[in-house]
Amino acid sequence: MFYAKSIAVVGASPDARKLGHTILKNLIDGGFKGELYPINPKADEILGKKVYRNLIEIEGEVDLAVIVVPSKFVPSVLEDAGKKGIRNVVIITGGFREIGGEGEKLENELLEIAKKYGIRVIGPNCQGINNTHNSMCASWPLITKKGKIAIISQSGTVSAAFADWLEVENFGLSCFVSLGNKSDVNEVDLIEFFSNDENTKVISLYIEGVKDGRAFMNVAKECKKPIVVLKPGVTERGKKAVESHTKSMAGRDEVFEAACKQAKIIRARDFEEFYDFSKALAYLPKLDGNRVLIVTSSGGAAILAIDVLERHGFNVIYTPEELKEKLREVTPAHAILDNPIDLTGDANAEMYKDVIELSIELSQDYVDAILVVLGDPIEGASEVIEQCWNEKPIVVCYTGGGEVEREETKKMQSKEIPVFSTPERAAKALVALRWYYG
Amino acid sequence: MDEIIKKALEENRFPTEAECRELLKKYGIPVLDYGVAYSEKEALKIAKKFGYPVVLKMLNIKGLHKSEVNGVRLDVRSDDEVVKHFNELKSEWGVLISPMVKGLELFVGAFQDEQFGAVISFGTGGKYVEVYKDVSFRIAPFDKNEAIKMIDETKVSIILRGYRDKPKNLDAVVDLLLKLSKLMHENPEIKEVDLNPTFAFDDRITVADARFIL
Repeated sequence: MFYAKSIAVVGASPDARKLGHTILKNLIDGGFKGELYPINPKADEILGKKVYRNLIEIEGEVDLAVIVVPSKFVPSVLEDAGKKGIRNVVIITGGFREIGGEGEKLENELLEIAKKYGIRVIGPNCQGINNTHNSMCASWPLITKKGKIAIISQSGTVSAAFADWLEVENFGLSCFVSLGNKSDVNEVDLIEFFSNDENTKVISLYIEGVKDGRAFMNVAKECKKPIVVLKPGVTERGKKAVESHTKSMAGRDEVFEAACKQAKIIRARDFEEFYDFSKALAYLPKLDGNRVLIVTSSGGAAILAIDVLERHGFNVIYTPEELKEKLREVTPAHAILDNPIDLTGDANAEMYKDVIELSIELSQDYVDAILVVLGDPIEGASEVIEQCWNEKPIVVCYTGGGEVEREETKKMQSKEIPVFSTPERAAKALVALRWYYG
Repeated sequence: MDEIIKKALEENRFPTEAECRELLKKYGIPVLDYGVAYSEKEALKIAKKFGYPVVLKMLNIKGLHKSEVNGVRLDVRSDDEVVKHFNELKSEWGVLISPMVKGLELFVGAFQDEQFGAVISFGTGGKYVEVYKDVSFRIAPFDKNEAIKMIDETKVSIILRGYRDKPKNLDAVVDLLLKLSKLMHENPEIKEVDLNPTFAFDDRITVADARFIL
């Protein structure tokens, strides 16, 4: 499915406004290296590719078929796919179980055909799949930046926004899977797959319900990688909305919460946490304990972080005397050396470097992570962080730094150093690490 | 499936509290001493055996919250009172009589979840469970470590571990959670269990009320 070498786009269209066009175009523009077969009974050539009438006509082997034709034609296309020996299918088309009645019947028909031929189906009613490591964007928008996070989602928009943020912040993603109606392939199959996918480090999952809770827990327990979950439908009204959106059963939230705890799944409470936790787990080193040292140029920002950390069981230690003595030699007289180590508003990159290096060197035994708050336009901060980066997590918050902040943040993130825009978000990134590494 | 559950299902009813307590005992769960009286004479005999004060409870097969239908008479202190309450509460299922005890009130419960199967819950007990909402949940089965984590998520755990008083028997609570988890696993016909209150003391715990929904 995700490492297909040849793809047929059934319903490829010469009309640039149609999804059948967009998907073929994204596959081409994304630099897919294998064979591409547009299928359309009425066209001869689309985007410079030879068009086939149907799947059977294709001479070569086809690993994956992406189907974008109207729902009533999908069963016959699937039948063709089965006969052609295609075992992986993504159905973008909507108008199935989600509309009830006839749609539900049609979806059951699909499932029977798929079962008969042993075809695995993603969708229907989904936004496709994208594996950047196979240059295979059978989806939209076009995203090509290779990264470490796999996003699996029951909402096209949530995953598209998530992927877009990763692209903008220079991290990229490993895979994007839009689950749609989950008629066949569901989150359990995908967790199992990505647990073994060498290009994926974190699995990020937006789901509105799980069908088989036990199977979900078991596969999550076995999973070798962090799983971050965002699952809405917490309130009664929210649950109703889940039913009409994806026909999922939201279930009792406290039960899902318990399942997450028992299966070591990181539960994000909102979209922002979902993104931040995924980013933190994918790009920060392992965290071994709960003791934090904060180096900042802003007292206020540091305190905001302290409250979040302490509320979540972290220990913001008091700076040990031996470290304080050394720090006095490299900091101005007005710097405050209790934790937070506050270099105040006239701090510069060099000062940060001296302090972080000394802290790492002298506090090996009593600090597990360093939270760096860059609270002013500090030029050259990115080089400092890059040089200090080691096996203990350094979590960076850059805030209140204007144009310099934007430049420096970009530099850091292009080197896979995550930067958070508020002290609370940086602190919560540490909380996520603590939940996962225990 | 246990015989008690089987019988109740065959008779298309829920088990009475006496039956619930019997089933709990089979799983090694400590329940408060009790007797079932079908006549005034039996009621007095049971009350005398336990010594005053005692508690009288209505027995029913509808899984009712007994306190909501005035089916629980606490702190009964004389023969006259026993006779009076017995006559008000009696039915073909008899009246349940227990000694009146008072310890730290805990809530222990279980239910079958559509997606996850048997779930065990634990927290602050008493009439105001729904108000305080000091409850934690775990999917059954789980081990001792998980049970301790579950207990420690609640506020009542602070009192259990000894707050301005002697610590209560935490091991006995853990043991109860594990045994209830086994009971639910082996009897999936039970849809819901309420053991509220379950009293914790420094040396033991005891289930003082039990309600099963099938």
